[in-house]
Amino acid sequence: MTDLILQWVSYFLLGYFVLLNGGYLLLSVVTTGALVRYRHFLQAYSSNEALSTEALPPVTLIAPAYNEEATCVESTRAFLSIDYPNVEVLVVNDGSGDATMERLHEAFDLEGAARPPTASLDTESVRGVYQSQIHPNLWVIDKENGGKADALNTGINYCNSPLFCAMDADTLVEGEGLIRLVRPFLKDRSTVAVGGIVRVANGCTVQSGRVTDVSLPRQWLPKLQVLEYLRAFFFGRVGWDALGAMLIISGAFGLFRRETVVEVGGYRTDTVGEDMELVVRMHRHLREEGTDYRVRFVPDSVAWTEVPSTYRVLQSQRDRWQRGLADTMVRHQRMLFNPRYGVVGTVAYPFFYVLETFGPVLEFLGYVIFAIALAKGAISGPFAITFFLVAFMLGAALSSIAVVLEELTFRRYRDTGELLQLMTLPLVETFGYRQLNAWWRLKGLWSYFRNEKSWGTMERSGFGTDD
Amino acid sequence: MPLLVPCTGWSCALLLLADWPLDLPRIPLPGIGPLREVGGTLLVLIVATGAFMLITMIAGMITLGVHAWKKYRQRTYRTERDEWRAALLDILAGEKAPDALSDAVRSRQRSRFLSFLGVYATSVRGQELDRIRAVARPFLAAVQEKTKSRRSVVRAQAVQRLTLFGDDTHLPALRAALDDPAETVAWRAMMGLARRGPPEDAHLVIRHLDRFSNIDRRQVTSALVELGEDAAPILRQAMASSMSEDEPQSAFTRLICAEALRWLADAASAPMAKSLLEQDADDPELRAALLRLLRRVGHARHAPAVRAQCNSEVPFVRIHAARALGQLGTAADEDLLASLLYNDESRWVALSAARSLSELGLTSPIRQLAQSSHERTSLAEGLLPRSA
Repeated sequence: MTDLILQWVSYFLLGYFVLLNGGYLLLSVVTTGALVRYRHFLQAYSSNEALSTEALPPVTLIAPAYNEEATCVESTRAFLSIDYPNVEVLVVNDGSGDATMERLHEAFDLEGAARPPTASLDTESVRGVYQSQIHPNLWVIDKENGGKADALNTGINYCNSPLFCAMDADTLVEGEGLIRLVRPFLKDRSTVAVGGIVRVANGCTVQSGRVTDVSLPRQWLPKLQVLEYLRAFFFGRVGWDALGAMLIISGAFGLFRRETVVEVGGYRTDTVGEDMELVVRMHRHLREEGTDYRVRFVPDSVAWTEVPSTYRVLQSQRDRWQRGLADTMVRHQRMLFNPRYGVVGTVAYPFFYVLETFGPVLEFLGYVIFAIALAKGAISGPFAITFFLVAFMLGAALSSIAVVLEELTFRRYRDTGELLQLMTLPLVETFGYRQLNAWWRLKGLWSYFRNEKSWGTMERSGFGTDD
Repeated sequence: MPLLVPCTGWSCALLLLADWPLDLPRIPLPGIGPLREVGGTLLVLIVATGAFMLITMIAGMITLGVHAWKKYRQRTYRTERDEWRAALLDILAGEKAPDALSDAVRSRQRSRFLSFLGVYATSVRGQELDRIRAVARPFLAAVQEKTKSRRSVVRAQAVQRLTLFGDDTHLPALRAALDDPAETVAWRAMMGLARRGPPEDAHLVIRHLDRFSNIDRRQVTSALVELGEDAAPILRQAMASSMSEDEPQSAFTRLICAEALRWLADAASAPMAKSLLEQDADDPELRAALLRLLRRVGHARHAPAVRAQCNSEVPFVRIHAARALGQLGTAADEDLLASLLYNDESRWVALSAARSLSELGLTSPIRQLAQSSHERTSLAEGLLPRSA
């Protein structure tokens, strides 16, 4: 009987293994084609020309700040230095308990100003609206604490432009990042949201709010995340974008049509995965309304962000991401395998729901069953080794494809030594890092079922410092 | 931000290490030593491992090869660009003839050279731009040939370059490209013609506008504005075209023309906008565009047509009507605007009315609203300055 159960569980897990990896291999093929087409498109595109027209739509950058006294001035200066002719910066002080507001007052000579809200999303109350006397396009909204989503909703309420860019306070946008992000909106009026690529800033040199020299981090943990981000953004974004089923736009860097976001009710404040939830809700709403729309990803629009460099913070981040993912997937599970939602409901949602959300459970179930099979003497040595090799080489192949795509297309890591390091990272991460990640994601799933809502911690060492 | 990193889930696969899940027939493979009798599963696994290893190795080799090649190319291009830049600066300063640089460019460098020139051509005007065009002239015959390429991206680039560097002799190629099957090519041709063509080309451009109805309207308007003030009569005619039977235009074309006239601040279009609002502008987006036009170039005598639109059943038409009254209205409009501020179902209309009241210096309805317990108190408060 035990053998029979084990056998069926094994078949089930084999199905998971084949589906997951088959999916990624397929995505890697789609990604390669999409990137080749995109490079061709770029040959006939001149950002200089786009910048020289006066038709770029105004964009509002919304940056929530909570207890950011150490970095708020630096990051606000970075936002103000973005290459875009018509940009307004809205910093939302989310009831910080430290001197964030005072720092902003001192640095930017803020004065109370009239700025009526243009939408009425529910938020915590606003204490005051201030305009910089040095940079007229800088506004600071001081409000009661309500969390990141609440701060973003407040920003949306005070946004006067048709497009807004949701930013993390610790994110640096590369020179032409914003103009590249706007491009799909210009090309197609039905575009409602566009995501850009987020890269790891640890190890890079930052001057005046700009990444001036790209390098790999020195510490192993951020270094491994460089490869992870590459894989995630190439396969998880470019691939899904090519299939017309982008479900995630990073909260650190995404451009949205304000009108659509207001129409769907803004960010949810009762989830830790507010960025993904918003995009999924937009898909759901617009499909139900029968509206023609696009959610796009632009692979050469880059924002740099600081990633965790300690196990504790990384664990907390992955735990939160998994909770946010599970929460979003369960909330909108009506879309699962539902043809009404097109390729989003029939392909992307099942992939994320079954393989990404509950994948860690299956992964760990695999370990347990393996132990049982081992105890029962049902495993033979050659099979064990060969299977390990298949899985190992598959992971290495996927990572290598991501590295080669990076080198063929956007090529940010120009030092040969660093490129060699990047190429060897897949061999390192298989031993320990992947298992840790799976464990953290499993814990995140457990936290979700226990209804935990905390954000965890993120310690920032600040840009310009080592790692 | 869930990263959703590909995870191969190899632990699950390890389950198949057990022989029982897949009890496939054994294949005898003589001469492989210990693996003389290999189970079918194991063979599949060995082949898969080999395949993935091969992919990894090929990817690795491509990465290194591309890296070395790009490094070499980067070095070469840098030297090349430095030489071109020095010569170009001399030409722009009038110290060298344009031929001095174009003669030095070899045929395999043409495309890169034009890309290099493109950066400067989009940044300068007048005499300097003429000099850059003179440098590019010897290469334009080849560029024009590329407008017939099978690849749309090549055609689009060629059209872009003809726009940037070409002269009147290249206008027929741009006109022909308006009918290109690829939208990107046609769009570039339209922008090129609007920028480089004579005002008479406005007819041609307008006839093709409907093809770009999916593109951001500001972009389309911006292209039309490039036609310049001389094209205003043609734009006016197109805006009013539903009244003429010869060449009726779509609502999209008419509204883009109205927007372009607004950007051009064409005062002569105000009476026409008023009459269109009163007579035949059924499309709400066109009405909104006409109201924006009147706000920019209208006069108090056009206000009656605007007031009538404050009762439109379409909220965004009311928004623009209320805003236009801020420019064209008088103190007599206080009640109408106050009514929109207090009672209109749309908060945006209320906001527009409040802003117009401020513009007209009629702030008492806003102050009263701010002191009341009305649901829009916060809106009014937001319009009155606060102290820090």
